[in-house]
Amino acid sequence: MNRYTELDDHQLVRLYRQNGDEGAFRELLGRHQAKIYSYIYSMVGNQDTANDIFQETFTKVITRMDETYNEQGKWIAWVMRIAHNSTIDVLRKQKRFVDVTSKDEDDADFYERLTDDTATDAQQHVEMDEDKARLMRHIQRLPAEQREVVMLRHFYELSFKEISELTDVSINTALGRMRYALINLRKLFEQEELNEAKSTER
Amino acid sequence: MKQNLPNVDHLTVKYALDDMEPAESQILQAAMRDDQDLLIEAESQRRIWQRISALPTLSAPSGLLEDTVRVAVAARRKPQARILAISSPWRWAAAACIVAVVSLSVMRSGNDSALVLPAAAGSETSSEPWVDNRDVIRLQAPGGATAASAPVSKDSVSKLVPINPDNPAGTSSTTRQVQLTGSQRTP
Repeated sequence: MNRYTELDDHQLVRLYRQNGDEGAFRELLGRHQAKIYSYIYSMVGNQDTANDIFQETFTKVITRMDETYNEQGKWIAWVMRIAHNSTIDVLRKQKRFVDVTSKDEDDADFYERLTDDTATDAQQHVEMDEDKARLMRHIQRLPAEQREVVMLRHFYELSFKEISELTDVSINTALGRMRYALINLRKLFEQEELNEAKSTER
Repeated sequence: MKQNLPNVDHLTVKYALDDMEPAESQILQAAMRDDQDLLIEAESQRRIWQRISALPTLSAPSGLLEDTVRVAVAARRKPQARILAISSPWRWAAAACIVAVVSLSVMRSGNDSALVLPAAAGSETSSEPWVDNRDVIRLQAPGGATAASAPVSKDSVSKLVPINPDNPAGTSSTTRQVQLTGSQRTP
């Protein structure tokens, strides 16, 4: 246990800004990397791209901290915004923002790396991973606008007001996107079950 | 009934995500009692969200974290190095060049604006009169007198009344410029 773990984000940010304390930055990164990385990964569905965006995000964070971060706001919310904008920039460049094509091959390593602490035995572990793998595949097939609302809510735990501000749409639009995402996911699961039933019959 | 309730579709989302105000909950509960399809839809959305909620977060690879710290810290130092580089003598040389270029272009544009040259002004054979930007008719191109323009100039000068009797027709000028007035002056 190091001395940084007892400090909150605000104190760590101040320590880094004033003294250039690299340890403080490492602590901040370690605390929040999983959420940020999961969001980026779930949006782009490719490890190399996710790694690039993640690195770019924290490079922006560290270089812009003095100029654009207001200490009155939550540091992690500011970082999330940078991560989100960087992710959307990449998706736009790739012209995949409204693309719903499947990226099963890209996602393969993601599912392999998923673990679940609640699994009690090996069989359950395998089943849970398979279930999540299916879900992630379906999420990847959603239009990016729907995917981003789902992921912002799940990984960043944002309210619809915060999502609407971050994505620059109304709250009703954000709610509507979430609704369509849930409906589409249900349809994708139903379709998958139907296909499995047909293949079993054969 | 579903159509009569505002934002009932959004309420099902909030229900699915367990994000409802008590008043919203009452509205939706009442609507779901009357509309079996709405109840089914809300419950199915809730099940889907429960599956999403079980998705674990994924840690960034440890190598990536180390690289990120290294790259980010280096990027933070980079702008400081740039500021130091700018303070070298090259900064003054660059500033001097910029000032010189700007001064030259200002002087040049000042000279150019004094004349409104005709299309054929560059041609030595041109004897057409032309008008400068002060509305003065000129019979000679800026390059100097030519054989073709000399008789015209001589003939015109003899017919004109000088604007200033002390210095008639600007004859002191090496370019022999003739300024005309449109009006007759009485001696």
